[in-house]
Amino acid sequence: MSEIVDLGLMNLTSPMILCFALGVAAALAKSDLHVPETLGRGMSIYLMLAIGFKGGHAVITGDAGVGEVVPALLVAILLSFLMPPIAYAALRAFARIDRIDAGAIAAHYGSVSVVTFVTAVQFLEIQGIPFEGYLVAMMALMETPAIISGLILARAGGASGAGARAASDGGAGGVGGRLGLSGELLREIFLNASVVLLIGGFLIGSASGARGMDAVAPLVRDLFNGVLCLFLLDMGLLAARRLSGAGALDWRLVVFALVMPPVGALFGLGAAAALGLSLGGAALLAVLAASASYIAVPAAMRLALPEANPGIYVTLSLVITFPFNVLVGIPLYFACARLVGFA
Amino acid sequence: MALHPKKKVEIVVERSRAGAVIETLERLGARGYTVVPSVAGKGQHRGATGGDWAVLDVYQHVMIIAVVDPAVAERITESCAALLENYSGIVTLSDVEVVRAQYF
Repeated sequence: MSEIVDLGLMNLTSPMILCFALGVAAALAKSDLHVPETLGRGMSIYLMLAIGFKGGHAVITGDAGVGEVVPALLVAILLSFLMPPIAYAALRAFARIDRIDAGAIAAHYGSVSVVTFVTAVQFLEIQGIPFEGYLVAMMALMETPAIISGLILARAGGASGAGARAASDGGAGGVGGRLGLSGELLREIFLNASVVLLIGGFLIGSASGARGMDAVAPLVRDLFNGVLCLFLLDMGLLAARRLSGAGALDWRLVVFALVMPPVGALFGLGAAAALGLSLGGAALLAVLAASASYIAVPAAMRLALPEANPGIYVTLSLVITFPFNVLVGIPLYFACARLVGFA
Repeated sequence: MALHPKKKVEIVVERSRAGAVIETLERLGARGYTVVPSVAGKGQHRGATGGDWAVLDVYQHVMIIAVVDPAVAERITESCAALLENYSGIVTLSDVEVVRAQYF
């Protein structure tokens, strides 16, 4: 128990988390501190490309074989596809919200938050704990399946007028038409900025090998922690300025946003055990399964499920689940991974 | 100098719907349009938007401006109710005069 407390304190006093706290405090104190939109977007592009690059580099210079990587990637896709039904069932039974909102929220919780993952990576690196480089590729693949899964949950069966309307908008027939999968939506799902940057960075990092890392290390490695600090400052501002939105939510939804992450982490640890991951890898997979998307999935949901209320799904994933994971979740999942015997 | 009467259609809409709005404008006969890529404000549907929401497209709005013939403007405003269902947005129409009529 004292170990968990120690880990928690170590996490809370890391510069990244302190910057996040600074953002929260500044917003609550109604400071006019403001990170310009272009800088925020620039930093997120940098973080995604750099983490992709570092992952690709780690895979190509590491000793993981194809027999290890391919099953891991398949498990990632499966995990992302199967988490939404669990979230959906909980939302329908416990929070008693309608099918459309439940499907939209479930998609967020099956998908992942890149920033949460990156923060967890720094948590491990500060302690000198290694992890499998292909976790980055797993993350990239976990963005999308949950969106499809969530749409199926929201649309299938009870697809009434709304579903039919979306289908005719999309102009596609069959299952795709029923889910409202227009060309614009498919692009958003499979070619959104984070998927392109993560997979692109991963491929560049693995194709250019050790020499490639030597060439760009000052950018992708040395600057990384500092940029992450700034980005988390922005996220702190963003989350705290939307806190009032959380106050307007039904308490059952808030409970869901706090309970679903640890439940997801357990599934992540189970998958990590099946794959035989290291302690660092298991903790990161738990973080991935626990985290909820708040950039890529909301954008896809506005296209695919405009009837769903973004005031609910963005608030849950950004204002409640993201701070919970970053402040408490990461050390907690890491401690659990060690407790159950990952080494 | 001769001025030519036209209609100006101004549509403020969340960014995720901007593509569909522009596609509709062009399909209904607008020969050009202007986009103000980021506008901030407050409304009934979404509350305050813009500004702080930097990385979230969901809370970012754009303004799309098209100057068109009155007949085209009518077609556009008629199609807007369906186009903006479930999205936050403002549609206004005003009389304007243009200098170079051949471009509209």
